[in-house]
Amino acid sequence: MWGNGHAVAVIRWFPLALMLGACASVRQDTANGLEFANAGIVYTETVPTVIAESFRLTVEANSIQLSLARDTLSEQERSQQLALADGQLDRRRRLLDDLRTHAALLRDYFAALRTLLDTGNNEAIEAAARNSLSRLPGLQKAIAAREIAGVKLGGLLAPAAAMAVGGYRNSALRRELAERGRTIERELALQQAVMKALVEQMQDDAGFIATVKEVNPVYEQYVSARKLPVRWPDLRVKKFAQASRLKSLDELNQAADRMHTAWIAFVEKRDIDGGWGLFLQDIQHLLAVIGA
Amino acid sequence: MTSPTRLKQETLAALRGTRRDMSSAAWLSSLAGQPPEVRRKAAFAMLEVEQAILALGNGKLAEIGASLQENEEALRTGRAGLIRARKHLGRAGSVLAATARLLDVIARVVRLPAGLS
Repeated sequence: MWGNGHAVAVIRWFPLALMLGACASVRQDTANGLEFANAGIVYTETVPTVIAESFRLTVEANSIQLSLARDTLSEQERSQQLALADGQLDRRRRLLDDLRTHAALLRDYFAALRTLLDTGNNEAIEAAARNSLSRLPGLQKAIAAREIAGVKLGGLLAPAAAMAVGGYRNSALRRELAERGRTIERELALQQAVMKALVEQMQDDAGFIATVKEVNPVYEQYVSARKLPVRWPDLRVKKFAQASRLKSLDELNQAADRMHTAWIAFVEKRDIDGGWGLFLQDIQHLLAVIGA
Repeated sequence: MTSPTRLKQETLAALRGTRRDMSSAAWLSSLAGQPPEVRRKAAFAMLEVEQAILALGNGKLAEIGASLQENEEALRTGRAGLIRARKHLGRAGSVLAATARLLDVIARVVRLPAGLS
């Protein structure tokens, strides 16, 4: 049994222990927030690479079509076909430019969130809100009204998640999430929709390109070549490997899904599956998938 | 009635499959023995399919949704005919005719460049 001396010690030290515990909670909140901000920066910096690759694939697929048909066209017909294709590709490029801007604005937000957590200074995030976030709702409306790969982006947006800000001890972070948590959730839902449509189109264009560049030579060399090249078995292996490469583009979709669900978990102060380290690894893997 | 989004996705899927088939070695070798006029027709069909993919992909449902639904039955028949024809790539004439039928219906929905053939 404790004597009076113990009771006095507990009473004397209890407030200090509480204070130390609270400091540890604030530090943990800050550490988690910094991890998410870093993940957000890496993700949003990856998006332009995906967009560039998507457009490159579309142009390459279209160029292959024009090349295959070229010999049967007159000069006037070639000129007409090239102009028609360029017009459609230009429309696609303008849409992709909007998506790139959207990702850049989100990146600014995550960078400002990192500054807020690093320094406790909310000037950066207020400036980001003024400069970037104020442009997001208008941009989101413009993007959501458009379509890509035959899909209306607005129609893919997930319903707004019901969010309640978790019990963060870092008051600056708690205020920030209460103020803009929902806005960022909507923007990440739009990114998710964009990625889904882009991946579908990239898989189709890449599949078409592979047919011409990798599948056809395997057939032609075996069926028509006078002498079967020594490298023919290697080409055949490569032909089957391309199907796996196309499938791996699905990981782009998964990264966008994880980014969205991780934000909701972050705002609500819940753990995410596998932790933040694994989440960052997924995003790094995403870069490898598109060969960045 | 099928939703415009679904109609558009199904039509795009049929066009994409046709694009891939029309660049396959099996298709190109089946054309090798055909008269120049058929080969020319096949080249134009391939370009028209590509134009239709780009035009439908860039199109806005707000503008073409009603038209997709008005032509739902014709689109369904056109897609089914093309899918059947593509199972026999060696019969170039049937594939080209089925492609032309579907493109005719798509031209009622989005503006396609006038055929060159």
